Amino acid sequence: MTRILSSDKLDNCVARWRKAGNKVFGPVKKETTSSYAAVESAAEFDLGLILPDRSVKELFFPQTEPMMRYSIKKQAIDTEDFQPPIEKRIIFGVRPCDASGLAIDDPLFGWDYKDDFWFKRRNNSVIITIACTKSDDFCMCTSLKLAPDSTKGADVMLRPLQNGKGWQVEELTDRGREAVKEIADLLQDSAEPTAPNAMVPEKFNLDACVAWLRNPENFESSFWKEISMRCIGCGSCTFLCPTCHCFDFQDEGDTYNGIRRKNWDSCSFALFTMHTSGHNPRSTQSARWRQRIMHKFNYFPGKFNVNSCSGCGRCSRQCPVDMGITETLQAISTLQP
Amino acid sequence: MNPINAMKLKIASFDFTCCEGCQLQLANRESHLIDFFELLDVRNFREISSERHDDYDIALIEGSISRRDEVERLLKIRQQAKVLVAFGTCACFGGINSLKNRFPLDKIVRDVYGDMAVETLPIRKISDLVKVDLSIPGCPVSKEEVERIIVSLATGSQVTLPKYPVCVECKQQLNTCLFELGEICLGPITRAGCNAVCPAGKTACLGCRGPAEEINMPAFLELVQERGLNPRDLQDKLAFYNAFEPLATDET
Repeated sequence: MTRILSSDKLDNCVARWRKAGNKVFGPVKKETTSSYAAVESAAEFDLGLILPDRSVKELFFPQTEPMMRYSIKKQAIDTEDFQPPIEKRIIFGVRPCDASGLAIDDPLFGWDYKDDFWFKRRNNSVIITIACTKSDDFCMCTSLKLAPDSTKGADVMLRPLQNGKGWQVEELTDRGREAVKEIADLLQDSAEPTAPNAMVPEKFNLDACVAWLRNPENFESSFWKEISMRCIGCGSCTFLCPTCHCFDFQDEGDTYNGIRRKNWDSCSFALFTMHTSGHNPRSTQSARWRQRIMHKFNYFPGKFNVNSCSGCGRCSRQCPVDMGITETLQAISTLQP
Repeated sequence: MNPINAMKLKIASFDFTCCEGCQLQLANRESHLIDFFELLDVRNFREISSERHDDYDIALIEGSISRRDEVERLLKIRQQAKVLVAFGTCACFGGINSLKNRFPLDKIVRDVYGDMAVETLPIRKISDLVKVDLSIPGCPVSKEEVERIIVSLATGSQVTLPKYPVCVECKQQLNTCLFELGEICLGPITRAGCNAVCPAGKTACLGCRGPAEEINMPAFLELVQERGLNPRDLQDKLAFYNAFEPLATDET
């Protein structure tokens, strides 16, 4: 016997969580795009999505965020910091790849300078993951040694029941236990079996790819030119990626007053590494694409012991010219290390 | 209080073969209008002031050139102006007016004017006739971009246009790609700076801002081909503003 949450109780849960002072988020489909968005009732959720178009990253690391307000006076410069939000949040129906993405980025935002904007949000959010029972051709979590029911980054794991009428509930962290406690009386005991996980075939041999990337001789390989020929440099893959975290600071304003903002940036843009002198160390798209792959599967794991990819497949799914991490690593798999 | 000592720019604006829509843009964005004109000493600008003076440093040229008297007028302006700006798509590339160049001149004069024939020339962009110091493309120009450029000129800082394509600004807004909706969009090859206003409104980019420096043309052409989109449609879109080189084709 395990505890289950039945689908028809979900709206009560949302109401209960909201009443307890939480903002509730979940997968929502709008006219042409889907994302994790704030809801007032469970009816707004679209839990049938394989995964939302946009990753959960933006709820923790928004596309643009004010950091500081400044004003230049005659004798001094006044500055005023913006504070990270402190609202409590329940994020329901997060896919395991998205939840993993958050856990992958935790060490990055905390290894040196501790990014308050990231960690305040992380500590005030409960991630309720639902295991995947279906996948599409782009899903590749298993190739990254993750799974359709990975618990990485999750506070609560829900496993869909075979009868489709609810989820088996498994608390994983203190935050998760706290959130489940608020709805404890809405859960029931049941012996109903859970549905099998989605079948996600392995698309490439990660170890072989990593071995190839770590060989310094391959840094100048003609492979990089060939694989990046198709790239139009739009940045879609980096914006939608649940682990891509590069940002840029910009002062926006006039001569006397302005706001310093933190904005998403992308390694696929030529401006990304442009120096003030005009020199650009990554002057070609192939150098930029090499950096992206090397960073995700060589440099990042070298520093944090984890790949900067959770296998969601959005980079390939949304790429206008159909090239992403999968296609690149598949191609690398076939090369001699 | 003016610590950067921005100098007032003596500016004049002139319209040639065009709709004057670009100049009208300069009178838009009322919230910034007073600050904007703080930087300008308007010497000749019929959309904005009835005053007429001939001593200006910066000349904005809107429109393309389609008549002999326009040529003379333009040469005169070039003599006076320290900075001559091709202002808007017609001035930069010829614009929609360039459609005229696809037909025999006498036929179109007959079709349009009938018995009252007028003298007319094939459409030329401004740089075909005089040296252009600065090009600000757009149909119409983006007021935000013009404001930024005017501030740069007034403060003596470097004037830059984005070198990257519209795609970048479109994807920043996380719009659905128009190629996914089965359309040919010139976003991958067109210069950004418009904030992807057309694709964000689900209208394919027609390339009014002309080609960007940092683009991947072969990949773009392959994309159109792979998706099975109509090559004729691509030709039409590339030709629309006369801003792109026509593609080499097998058609005769």
